[in-house]
Amino acid sequence: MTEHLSTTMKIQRARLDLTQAELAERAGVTRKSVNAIEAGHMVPSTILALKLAKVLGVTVEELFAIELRPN
Amino acid sequence: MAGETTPIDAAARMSHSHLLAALTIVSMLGLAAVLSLTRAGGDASKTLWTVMPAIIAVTAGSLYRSYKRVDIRALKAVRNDELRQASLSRAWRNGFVAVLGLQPLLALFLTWSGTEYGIALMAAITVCAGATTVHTSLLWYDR
Repeated sequence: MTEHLSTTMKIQRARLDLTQAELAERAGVTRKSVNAIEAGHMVPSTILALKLAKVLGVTVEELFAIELRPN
Repeated sequence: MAGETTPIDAAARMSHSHLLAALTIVSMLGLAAVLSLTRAGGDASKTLWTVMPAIIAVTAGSLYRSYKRVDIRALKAVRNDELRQASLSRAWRNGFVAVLGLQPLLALFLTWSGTEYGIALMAAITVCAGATTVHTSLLWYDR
């Protein structure tokens, strides 16, 4: 089993009716970063995770979770 | 706001064009240096060295004007962006591997070819290959 980061960012973003560009602008990152995190290609740092959670009005635990997947 | 270009998007686009310009200039400088140090160069290297300052000046002027139009905070956000930082680390690693891998090949080729300025040529090709690999990798990861 390997650990992967799963995220509800897309759902939270849709809840607030935000585009990736709008979320990126508010969090002070590029749209590519937001896209990479949503797609699971990038694991954000603690600071960025906190920033994203704050912008989306949720806790980091609600936004990100560790998912166990078989090898 | 959907569909509009945000300040960070504009800064990212400008940063991309700066990288592309840097890659072009580095490649041209490398090509000019290699042509100057080999017999194959001839008039081509002289022409390249003559037009190079003009090309660099025009490019730098154009890039500076685009830099002035971009929001400084957005540019800072692009530079500190985590995906960009990760891409930069990978690009440096690729450049390092390219430079290391090139050494034995260059040593063999330059010894075999008996070039007059072998050491200078090796240095020029190494610098150019390293810089080109870093820029190309960064552009690739940043696409």
